[in-house]
Formats: sequence, C-alpha cells, structure tokens
Amino acid sequence: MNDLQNALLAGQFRYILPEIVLAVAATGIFIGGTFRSGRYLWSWAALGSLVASLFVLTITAGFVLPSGEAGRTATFSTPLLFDSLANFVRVLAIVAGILLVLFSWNEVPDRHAADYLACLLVIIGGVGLTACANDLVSLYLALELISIPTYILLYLPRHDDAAQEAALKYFLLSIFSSALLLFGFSYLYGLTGTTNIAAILHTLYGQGGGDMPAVAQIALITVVAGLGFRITAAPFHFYAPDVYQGAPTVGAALLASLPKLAGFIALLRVLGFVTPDGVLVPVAGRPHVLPGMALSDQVPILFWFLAAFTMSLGNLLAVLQDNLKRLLAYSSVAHAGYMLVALAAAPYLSERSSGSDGVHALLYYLVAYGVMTIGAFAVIAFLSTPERPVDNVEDLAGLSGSHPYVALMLAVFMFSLIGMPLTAGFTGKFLIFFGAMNVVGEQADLYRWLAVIGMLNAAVGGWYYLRIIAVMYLRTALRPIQGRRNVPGLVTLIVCAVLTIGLSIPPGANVLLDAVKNATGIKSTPSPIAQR
Amino acid sequence: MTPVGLQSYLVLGAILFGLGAIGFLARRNLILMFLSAEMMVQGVAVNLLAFSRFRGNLGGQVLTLFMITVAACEAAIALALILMLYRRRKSLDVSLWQELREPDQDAVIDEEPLPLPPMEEPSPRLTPAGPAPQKREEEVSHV
Repeated sequence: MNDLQNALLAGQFRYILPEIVLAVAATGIFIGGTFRSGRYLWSWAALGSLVASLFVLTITAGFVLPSGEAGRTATFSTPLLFDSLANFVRVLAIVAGILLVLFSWNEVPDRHAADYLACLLVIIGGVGLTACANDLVSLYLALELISIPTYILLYLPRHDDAAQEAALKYFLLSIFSSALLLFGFSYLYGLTGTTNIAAILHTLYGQGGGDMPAVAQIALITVVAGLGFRITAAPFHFYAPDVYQGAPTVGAALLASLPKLAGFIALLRVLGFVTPDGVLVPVAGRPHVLPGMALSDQVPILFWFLAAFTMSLGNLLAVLQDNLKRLLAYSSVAHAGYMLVALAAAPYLSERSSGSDGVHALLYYLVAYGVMTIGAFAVIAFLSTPERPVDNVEDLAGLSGSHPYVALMLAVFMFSLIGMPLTAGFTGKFLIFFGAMNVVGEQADLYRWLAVIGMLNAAVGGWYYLRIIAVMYLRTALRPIQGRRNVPGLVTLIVCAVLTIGLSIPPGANVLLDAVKNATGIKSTPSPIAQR
Repeated sequence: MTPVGLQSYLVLGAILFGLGAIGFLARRNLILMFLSAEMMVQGVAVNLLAFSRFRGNLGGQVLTLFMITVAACEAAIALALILMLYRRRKSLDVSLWQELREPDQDAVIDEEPLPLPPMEEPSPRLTPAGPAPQKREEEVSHV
C-alpha cells in the first residue's frame, strides 16, 4: 500500500455519505423504536431519511472523482467505485425505498413499525453499496446487507404460520445461495490472485479463461447460480411462489423489486458486462474478447438457455395459479426471463452502435418492471382488509363497480405487464426483443429464435393478466370489496401508475433512456467543476 | 515426504462444500440444515486460504475473515428464527412446514417418520404437605 492508495481509500468515505445517512437513520430508528412505538412517527422518520439520503446523493454525485493516474489506481485498488451506473442504481434504490415506505404506511402493526422501517433503510443502503462494489469482499458484504434485514422484515409484520414458513424458506435458500456465490468468488480469486473486480476482469480479459479453464467454468456456473436465486431465474426460482404467497404483501413487493435489481447489477459487474475505464485494454497477440465473456466464451449460450427456460416456466406455471400473489410470483420469474434475454444478447450488441444495447434494455426493463410490480402489489394491499382479504383472482370480482379508479390503475399495471403499447412494459420488451433480433453474425439465427420464444411467452402471459382484468370488469362480486381509507397507499398506486405510463411516452421515456445510456457510458460522473 | 499441493486443498474444499450441499438437501432437522450450509461456507474458506497461500497475498484471508463474521450474524438470526418455529410446532422437523405449496399438490407424507424422542422420566414430585391454598377470585378468572 502506498500513500496514494491510502489517500484514495480514506477519500472513499465522502462518496458513500448517502448510505451512511441511511445507516445512521436506521440505527436511530432501531434504538428509538424501543422507547416509542407508532407507525406514523417512524414512517415519517424513514421517509425523511430517504429524502435526505437522495439529497446527499445529488451533492456527492457532484464531487470530483480521482482521474488520470489516481483514477487508474482507484479503479484497481479501492473497494468501491462511484461511476454513473452506481449513481443511477442508487437513485433507483432510494426511489423504490420511498415508494415502499408509502406502501407499508398502513400495513405494518404499530409494535413492529420501527424495526420494520429500519430494516428497510438498511436494505436500501445495501442495494446502493452493491451498485458501488468494486471488490469481491465489498460486493459480498453489500449483498448480505440486503439479505439479513430481509429475513427479519419478512418475519416481522405477521406472525401466522404462513409468514413464518415463508421467512424460513427464504432464509434457508438464501444462505444456500450465498454459499454457492462464495464458492464462485473463491475460484475467481484463485484464478486471478486478487479480490478487486476491476483487476480480476482486467486479468481475465487479458488472458481469456486463464491457465485454468475448468476453474473458470465452475466459477461462472456457481456465481450465476448464487445470483440466480436473487433474480429468481429458473431453476433457482422455486422458493419465490411460496415465499411471496406467505410473506406480507409489502414484503413480497420488496422481494420482487430490490433483490432483483441488486442481483442483476452484481451480474453485470462480476461477469464484466460493464467495465470501468482502463479494464478493456487490448493485449498484443490476443483477439479482442467481447464484454461479458471474461470468464468463458460460453456466457451468452448459458444465459440463452437460462432465459428461455425461465420465461417459459414462469409463464406456463402462472397460467395455473389462482392465488394473486402466487401468480405475481410466477410473473416475476417470467419477467426475470425477459431480462435474461437482454443479458444473453448483450455481448454481441455492444460492438454495434445501432442504439439497441442489451445492458440499456436490461436497465430500462428493471425500472419498468419495478414500477409496475410494486404497483400491482400495492393494489392488493390497498384492497385487502382482515375481514375481506383479496387473496385469489376471484376476489377481485366487481372491482370496477366498487373502486373504478383503482380498477383502472390495476388494469394499467396488467397491460404494462402484458406489454401493451403506451406502457413502460411495452417499451422495455420492445427494446429487449428488438435487441435480440438485431444480433448479426453466426449467432443471428439463435437470437431470432430467442426473440420468438420471448414473444410467444408474452402472448401466454397475456392470458393470465387479461383474466384478472376480465374478472375485475365483467363479474359481479358476492361480497363487495370494502377497502380502507389509506391515503399513502393510494399515493403509491398513483405514482406507480403515472410512472408506468409516463416512462413509455416522451418526455418520460427520453429522460429514462438518456439516464440509462449515461449510466452505462461508465465515464466518471460529469461534474460542474473541471476535472483536475 | 511430498509437500501438499494446491490441488489437495481444493479437493478438500470441494468435498466439504459438497458434503454440506448434500446435507442441506437431505437433512430434515432445521439446525442440521443450517449447520450443513455453514459447512459449505467452511469449504469455501479452505479454498480461499489455499489460494491465498498459492497467490502469495492476503486478499483471500481478508474475505475469509469477513465471511466468518457474516456467518456469525446469520447464526444469530438462524437460531432466533428456529426457536420461534420450534415454539409453534414443538419440533425441529422441517417437513412439518408444508402449508405453502402449489394448490393441487399434496403434502409430502413421510413413509418413514422420524423416530419419536425417548420418553423422559417424569420429574419426581413431592408429596403434598397440606391442603392447597384457596385461590382468590380474580386470580381464578385470569386462569
């Protein structure tokens, strides 16, 4: 360690101030919750700290990053890296956190509200740190910072058998997947002799699979399996329906959005789909390796099969479901499949500047999927009361009569999940499938087939989403849905619905697409102050 | 005497990891399932330490230290969760938790149930030394 590295390491703290704000606030709420209970007080506190964190993030994003020689040293030695992708994901995580706090405003019992909200803040901080991680150690710690509070959060709000079983299932499979991921990490370290992700990628891109190709393959498979649990890719999806069904609605919404975001970002980073400056330096005597193929040139074909299997299985099993949360769980598996299509096509698309980049499409779809799925879960939570729970599809009958506006918003979310035009889901699917169709060269046919499988799946998906809409509009209820007066829940719904439509048409679509493109540019953050 | 090479350590790590994975999938006792997952992590630790020695830097050892710390946190949560579940079912058998499953799927019923725990000797009781004291009205209503 020389002086420059020490200075860079010490300088990292001011960049993670947003996460530090969240951690301090969470600690305060944990301690304060032992003195005062009450969900309104702590919900306001959590909302305030999330807004404060967002504000701090806008300031820290303007800080000058080390450049030149110092920047190069920072990339290859510091545990955290603050590129524009990291900042993009941190903003997403905090916005999702604000939505989830509003969502849970009236869902959590007073007694557990403080602990619940503090755990939520820690999870948001964990997602932010995952996005910044540039070292296997920090990546592992950030992912655990998401997992460990999630166990508590799934367990806290309800104490019935189903919730406990869901918490248990999630816990056991989560530690199993962590072990798989760590096994992959140990082989990655063994291959390259460093835990710094940028240095690992630099070494791997320089020498291909290295002198130990078998080790590289095992590392690839275990890392993908370990992260596959978080993104609910089949065959690692099997816990999702049970856990979503048993968990409280807000917990299910959280599981469907934040761990997926973190899992995909971790995949992008570890497998080298996005690389910091200075990593992809051409090495003499070695052909140029496509991004994402650092570990092995089998990466696209692995993701091809994973994508086809995940979306087909998710959609086919969703058709059979009656329970709404189970249905949304399988739909979440299916959407993970669509996102994997983007990942499978990404290596071949990055060479071309046709505007259809796999990573862009993936990031756009992550945002769109997060908004519409949080919205769909928020509708279920908004309509359910202990006396008249909304569990099954049939329970939504007659919703258009009793709650016309809520029914309209649920219809918007369902149309977006199907992928109808004028919704974010359509734009996302368009970007992904258009990207897969655009692959040229030897693999072109393979990816056309993948796009066709994807479109067939979207058609199958239409069946079960339309069934919900049909029940809502065409059937009458035996017992009308009551619903409660719940202003924050309604605000969540409206924000999600507005975003679902707004992100698909200009100007919203352009804003998001520009943000996504800027994020994967992996330049150092544009700052108002001149780079020194 | 031949020195022990990197490969031997990797094989040891892989065996520990594999035994842990098999244990996790085959065991039905909640605590043993958790310990099996911990054994997988220990296999990873062996790998990391061997690679750390082989590569001649401390990166792997640092990751191992963090891993052990996180495993301790997870153990704390695991034991709390398992205790709550035990209180509800009075058993650590994981197959008692099958409420959440596909709607048309039957519960998996064991052909060979776990052996019942041996009956404990009932604790010795003292012979009553006199008539039991009368309970007051409000205490009775609470019971």
